[in-house]
Amino acid sequence: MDRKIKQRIAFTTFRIFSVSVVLMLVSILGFIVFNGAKAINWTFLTASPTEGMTAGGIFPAIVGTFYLVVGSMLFALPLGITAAIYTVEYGGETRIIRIMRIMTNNLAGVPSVVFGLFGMTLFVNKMGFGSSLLAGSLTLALLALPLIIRTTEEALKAVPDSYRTGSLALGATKLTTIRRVVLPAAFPNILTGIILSVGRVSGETAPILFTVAAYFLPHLPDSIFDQAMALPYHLYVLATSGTDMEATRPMAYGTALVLIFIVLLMNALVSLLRNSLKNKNSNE
Amino acid sequence: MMKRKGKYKKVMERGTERLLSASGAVTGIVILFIVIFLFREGIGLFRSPDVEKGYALYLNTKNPVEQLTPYEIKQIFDSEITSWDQLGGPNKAIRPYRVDDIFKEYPEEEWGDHYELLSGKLEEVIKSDPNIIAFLPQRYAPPVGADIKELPAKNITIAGFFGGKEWLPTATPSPLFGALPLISGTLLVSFLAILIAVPLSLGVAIFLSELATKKTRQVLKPVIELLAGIPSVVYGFFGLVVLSPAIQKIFHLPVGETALTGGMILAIMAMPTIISVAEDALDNTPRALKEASLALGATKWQTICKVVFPYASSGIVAAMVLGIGRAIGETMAVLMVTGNAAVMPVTPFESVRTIPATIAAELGEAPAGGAHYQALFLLGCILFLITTMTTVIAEFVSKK
Amino acid sequence: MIEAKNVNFYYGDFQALRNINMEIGQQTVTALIGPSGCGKSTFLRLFNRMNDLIENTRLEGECVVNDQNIYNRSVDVDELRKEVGMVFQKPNPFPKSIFENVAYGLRVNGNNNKKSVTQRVEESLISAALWDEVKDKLHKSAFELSGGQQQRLCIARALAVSPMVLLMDEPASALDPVSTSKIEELIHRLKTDYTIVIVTHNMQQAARVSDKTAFFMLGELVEYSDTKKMFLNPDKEATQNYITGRFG
Ligand SMILES: Nc1ncnc2c1ncn2[C@@H]1O[C@H](COP(=O)(O)OP(=O)(O)O)[C@@H](O)[C@H]1O
Ligand SMILES: [Mg+2]
Repeated sequence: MDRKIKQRIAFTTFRIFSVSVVLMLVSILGFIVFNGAKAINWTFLTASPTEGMTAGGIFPAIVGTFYLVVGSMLFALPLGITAAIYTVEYGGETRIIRIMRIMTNNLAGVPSVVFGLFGMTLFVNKMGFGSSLLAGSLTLALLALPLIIRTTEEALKAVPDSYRTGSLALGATKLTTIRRVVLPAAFPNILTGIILSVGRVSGETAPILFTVAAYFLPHLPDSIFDQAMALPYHLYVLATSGTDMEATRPMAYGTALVLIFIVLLMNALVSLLRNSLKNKNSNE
Repeated sequence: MMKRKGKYKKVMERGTERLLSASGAVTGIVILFIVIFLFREGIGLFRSPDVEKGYALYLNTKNPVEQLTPYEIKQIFDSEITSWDQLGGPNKAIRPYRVDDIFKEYPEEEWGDHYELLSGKLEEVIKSDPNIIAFLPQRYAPPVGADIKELPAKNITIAGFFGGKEWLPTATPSPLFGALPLISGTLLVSFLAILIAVPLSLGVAIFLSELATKKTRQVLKPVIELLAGIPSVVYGFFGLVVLSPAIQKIFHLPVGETALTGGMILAIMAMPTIISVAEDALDNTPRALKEASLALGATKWQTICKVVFPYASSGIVAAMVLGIGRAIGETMAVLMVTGNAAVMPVTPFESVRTIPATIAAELGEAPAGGAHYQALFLLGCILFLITTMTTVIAEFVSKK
Repeated sequence: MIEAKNVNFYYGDFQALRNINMEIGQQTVTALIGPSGCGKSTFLRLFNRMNDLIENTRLEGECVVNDQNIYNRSVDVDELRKEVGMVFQKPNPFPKSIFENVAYGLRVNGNNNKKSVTQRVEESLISAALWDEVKDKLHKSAFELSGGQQQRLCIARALAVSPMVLLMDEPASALDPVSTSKIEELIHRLKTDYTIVIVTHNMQQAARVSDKTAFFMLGELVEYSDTKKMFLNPDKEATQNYITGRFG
């Protein structure tokens, strides 16, 4: 009977593991949410930090992160999506495509701090943008690029070939087929990929450390060559370099909660999208 | 009319295709560019002199010592080496000398309006003392000749970088770029993380795919996937305010920011990824195989060990490799909780500094183009190589 | 001896079996026939408790094997499955060698004696009429065998643990006619040592291999009698209609 005992030991262990891992993960979330909720109010979301970051709010950081998300997507989306369309729809195994595939696969695993390193020399120093929204957006765009290319490629590949042959058989050109048939069918999945990259971009710290992020700015950036505050960097600053740690903690909890909220929001959007997609498919 | 419209369409068609292919090419090139860029800057370190740029070391010609390593120079100026016989010279006390010292010895009037008299004064000083070693800016240096010699400039070596145990990038006269403490710090923290994360994640993955009811799985999977998306700085913050004080208290340590703290936070961060990839792999095992095994009287656990694991092994390994890749490259959380002491770690209860944390912490202070800057790029290259290797391995394994 | 007593079975709210009562004698071949979806597989899988693996199912009544209700709390499911072997519709060999496939059941049951395992593997392969075809490539992958050989390998695998009962769920439906007839011959020979329950939707097959036949429809056992009688002179009109191919 000792195989029974072995099974019991193994399964009990896994149950304990699962309960503790889930408890741990959920309690991290709960801890931040609980402590952050106390800090969050209207002033917190709409005011600038005051009194050495121990009072006021995080408005400039929210705005900065918003600008960075928009800026990076402005670069990454057109490039990533068109590149994916090219590889999937015009593909074949040309040398360009092969190199690109190897590169994007690799790039997806490259640590974000390496992007920061690259962005700092190329955009900040060599191209002379200085530490600016432009440099930060470009750096984040590079980070998001492989993610967008991959998800778009997968979305396009998921469109059944019969759609394409059907359209082509009706005399539509390839371009028309892509525009009228393939892209609409792939759109929800492409959108999912975009939302996920927005979530990723808004939470990254290392790439913006030296390309855009400012410790404190008295006013909002008003050109793409200005520095900006950003949520993740703000949390890092609040957590590690305040002069009065006790007094900055509530601000830090609040900022962490806002960051988590963004991730939750993006995940909610994705699952909403998936559900509506499922319903649409089952209705057909 | 018809014809013209058709022609226009064709031009559009071809134009778009060109555009798309250009965008594909641009992406590929940009990425290639990043790689080349990183490595060009990084390799530049080995063409940098091992003493600060524009400076040199000067000795009296009576001193038989002809060469010094960066580490020896550092020890001399830190007064860790005090006698020339430790370096193959006579048994005489070393007198380290910096340009500042001359300002203390002579009043301001004697320096000259544009410091043009400095060189002569320095010449006197060095001439008069065979045991002196002077670290001077080359533009004020005394003439090298019968009485004074300049130590030959050497470049930073590969062995010095990968074998050096001291990371003192801002030390003068000779900064030390020994990456060993950083490499071993990274390995130690990642190793701890994997040690904690892999068994736990596998346990949870098995629970989810084989033991949990459908409902439990439907609730837990999205929660776990959601946790994979939470920014690392938030995990780092949690580690800082909760985990590190706890570890300090439990193990009675002077500080709570240790390799262990970093490993635990990394484990927490890597687990959602490992769990969900491993669970997918386990879940892919054909039902027919599991049923065949159970129908032969195997227990569920025997079935998991003998049928499910072998079938899912490549996916499980891929999950672990991905987790390792994430752990090695993770920056912010580790920066916040490991204490960042660039010393060779001996136990998990000490502060360590990882490669990514070093880059994040020092890039802001390193002057562009200098040796320190290049050293940070070289660290970036190492990271890039390690993560590329993990991606390749993961892909290779999961294709099998 | 196998027996079902007042068996009702539910997948969630859906009732797949309705008040089944049936006795199956030792060392007989019993065929279960009926239109697709009538509950044959469900019924068969009750006897090695394979349905336990499906969530949200419920059983009422008793299933008896060897005078014991196998759904009793005291019954060890894994031990039960050693007594009651199963062969599935699609051949499902493990991605291991031919030898290891057959040895699997022995190994999980704690037999690690090399000599006795080797001997038992050989016996099982001989019983399953596969030995001559595979004896020179025992350590080759099971996937190198043809579909029919794979199914006989699965039978050998089931025989290796010395069950008393063999449940077969449409064992030949995925095979070509030659392989099918080999399997049928095999069933014929195994009858002397095993109690066999076989699901089939091939009327001729049921007639050829079985001693008794049970006809199921919409979850109910419509008729159960000697195969000869069933095919010559069934009691129920529904049976007649089905056998003569008027529906199903
Ligand atoms: N896992 C399951 N979940 C829900 N319903 C099932 C499941 N398996 C079978 N059924 C239903 O139970 C009925 C009987 O199925 P089954 O026993 O497989 O029929 P047969 O083997 O006679 O073709 C069918 O209507 C089928 O849809
Ligand atoms: Mg069936």
